[in-house]
Amino acid sequence: MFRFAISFFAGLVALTGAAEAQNYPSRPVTIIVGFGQGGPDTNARLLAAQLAAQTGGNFVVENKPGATGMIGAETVAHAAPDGYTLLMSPASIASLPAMHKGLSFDLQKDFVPISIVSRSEASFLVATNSLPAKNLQELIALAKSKSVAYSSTGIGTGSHLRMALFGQANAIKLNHIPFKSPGEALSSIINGETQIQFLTSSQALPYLKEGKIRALAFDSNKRAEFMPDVPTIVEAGAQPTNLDSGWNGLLAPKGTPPEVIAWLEKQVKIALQNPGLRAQLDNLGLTPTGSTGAEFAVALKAAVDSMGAAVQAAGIKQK
Amino acid sequence: MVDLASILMGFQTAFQPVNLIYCFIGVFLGTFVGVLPGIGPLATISMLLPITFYLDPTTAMVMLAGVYYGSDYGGSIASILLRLPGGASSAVTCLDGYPMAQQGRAGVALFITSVGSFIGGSFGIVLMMCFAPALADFTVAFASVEYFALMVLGLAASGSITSGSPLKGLAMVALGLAVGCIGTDVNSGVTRFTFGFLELFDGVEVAVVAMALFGISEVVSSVGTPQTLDLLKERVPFRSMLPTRDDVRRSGGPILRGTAIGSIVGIMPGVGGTVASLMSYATEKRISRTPERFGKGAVEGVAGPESANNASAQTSFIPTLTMGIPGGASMALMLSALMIHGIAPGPGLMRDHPDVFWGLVASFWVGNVMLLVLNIPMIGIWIKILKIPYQHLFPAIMVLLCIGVYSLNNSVFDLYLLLALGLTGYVIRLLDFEPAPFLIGFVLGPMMEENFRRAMLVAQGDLGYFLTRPYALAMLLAAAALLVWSIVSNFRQRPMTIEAILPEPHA
Repeated sequence: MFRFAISFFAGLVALTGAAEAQNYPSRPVTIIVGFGQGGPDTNARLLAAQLAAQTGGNFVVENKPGATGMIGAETVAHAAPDGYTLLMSPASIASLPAMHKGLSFDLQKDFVPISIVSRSEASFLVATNSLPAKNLQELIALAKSKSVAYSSTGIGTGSHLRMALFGQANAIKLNHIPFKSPGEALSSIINGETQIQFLTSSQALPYLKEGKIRALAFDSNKRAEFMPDVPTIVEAGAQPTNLDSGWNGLLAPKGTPPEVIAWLEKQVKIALQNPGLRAQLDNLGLTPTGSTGAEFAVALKAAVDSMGAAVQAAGIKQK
Repeated sequence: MVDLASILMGFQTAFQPVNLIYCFIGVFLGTFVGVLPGIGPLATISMLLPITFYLDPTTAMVMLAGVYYGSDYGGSIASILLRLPGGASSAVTCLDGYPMAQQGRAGVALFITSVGSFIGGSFGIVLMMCFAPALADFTVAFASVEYFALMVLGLAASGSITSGSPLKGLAMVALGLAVGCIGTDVNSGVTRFTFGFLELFDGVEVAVVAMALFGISEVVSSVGTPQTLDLLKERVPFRSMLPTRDDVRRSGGPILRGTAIGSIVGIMPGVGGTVASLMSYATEKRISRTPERFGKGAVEGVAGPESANNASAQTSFIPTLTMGIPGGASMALMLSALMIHGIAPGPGLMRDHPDVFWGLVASFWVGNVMLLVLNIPMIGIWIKILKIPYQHLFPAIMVLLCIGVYSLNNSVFDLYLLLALGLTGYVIRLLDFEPAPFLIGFVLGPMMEENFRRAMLVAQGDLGYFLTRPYALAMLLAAAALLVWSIVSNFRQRPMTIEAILPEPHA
């Protein structure tokens, strides 16, 4: 009993602020990912392994999948702000406020952005081989005369919102066909069940190289180095989407000691200079970034705004 | 078409000592997590992923793939011994495997399972070796209409799966459909039957349903009626594990048909081993001359589904490796293991990295032989579990179930769901309803709805679209023929009387 009391009070003291922040991390840090294994989770695991190697601390990734990342975000928003529970999330989190009424957290007020860990490359607008349109102008003309179907990886996902914005900006109405997984959506664009889709470069490249699908345009302000023949949307004479949906960032709950945030921001930056980690991320189609917290806050606000507009363009009812 | 030089090169790679060792680690771990309820290949592969960064990409894939197909060998063990499916794809094995165990024939069931799994797996590998390049485009040729038609065919074939009253069977299918509707609708984004729980937005995990309906309900009813498996009190001689000549004769056909069904289903991305095993079971029961034996320990009901889910586990590598289209979450994770090594999965993989592709395919053979050698001698050890008095066994089962279900999403909510569905399973069991039709409705229903509505979105509501798709039309006609045939044969066998329609009381 006596021993219990001692450890109890020791724990209590340790939990109170400054002393704790100085020897952070003194116990395992949990990085929560609001998705299942694979995808955003892989980025978190790669980072956690590097952070552990370089700081000697213990960084554990825990999956809390469900409701497109909402469960994970909610868990972290309500966790103790001691730096031992963090959230690693893709930019899709920024669409949640526009998609759902009554979120139990405010994305911009209840979180402290630490750093953008990586960015994914811009997207190609790809078409199935049997589509009569040979370029973007022909596609827009075609979509005005008959129905053109596009695939996405689900309602409210980046591939859906981007095409909704593209349709709105270019005054064409497109037929949305949502799928459950990237693989299924990709199959449908290869076999011609759907005609167009936005795919990130690393997703599209192997299929473009083999001629299984065609690229009509690149949704960026400059051409892709590895596909210099494909024009940007603007060069092809159409309106771009301006949707910035391609980052993975590390966040902490509001109230986390600033020293801890600063320490993490610095460590993430150092980790992302490691050549091994850089190569691994690069192979996954991700650009190692390591921004500051302030830069991340700006990007987060921009993403919330642009995704809000995209959700409206897509005609998704808030639920 | 058969590229002998490449196959030979593949075997050279697979027989390198380091690959042999990692193959063994993979299949051993796979069997182990397969036995444990709930903990499946997905969680295991994800835990092993960091290790693979330090391995050669081929070696990494050999190990991860071993976990994947190894788990299908292990999955049936607890289904047979304890009516506790290791994963959803072996849930249907409970139906006849567990009665066999109660009759003291657990050894035979496990033996047939191992052999059937081996044959199913081997056939899948042959298919990959000979036709993988040719099948590449075929794997992505199916559109939503074809998926829908396949599900209709599956549902029509599964009509036979209920052994009691057809009405009760129908009620369970409907209940399964309703539970399957829970979650966010893919086509509209609307959430259905979630009652405001975020945890239900992604629907109910099929593993939770399988664990609850088969596992929990069995534990609860066994505790209520203490039973001792007298047959296992004495020593089990090795000979009793060997199937009789009659068992062998009965298993041959189901193994071959199960293999065929599993191979086809596996090639189609996103369908999966659960559908393969359900369809195989339904087929066996439908074509059997003695369907009344099913559910009471018919060896066909074990041989077919277990061959099917293993064949499907192997052929699901075809779309994954030849087109870069993963058949499921575990496959997607394996592809990311390749990507981290700088190998882009996709249609160019076989040409650009033949060493990885052929080495991996050859390692499947090695792995399957290892699994067979690993599993047959283990049978004697596994069935000793049955000697443990049930009052000591069931708390352990409950703990394992809870750990397994929690590990799916790290979610306590899933445990409440397990409890609620488990009690539902117990109540419906008391009322003489069966869990299998529930599982069919739950698995096939949502896939059918999703694909039908997607097909209608594509065709903009034009039902004539089905007439323009020959494969879909053929499958739908086959489903219709199956229904007509079963109604006609029902009339022939026994004149349709009121007693035949009304639920009949049975022991």
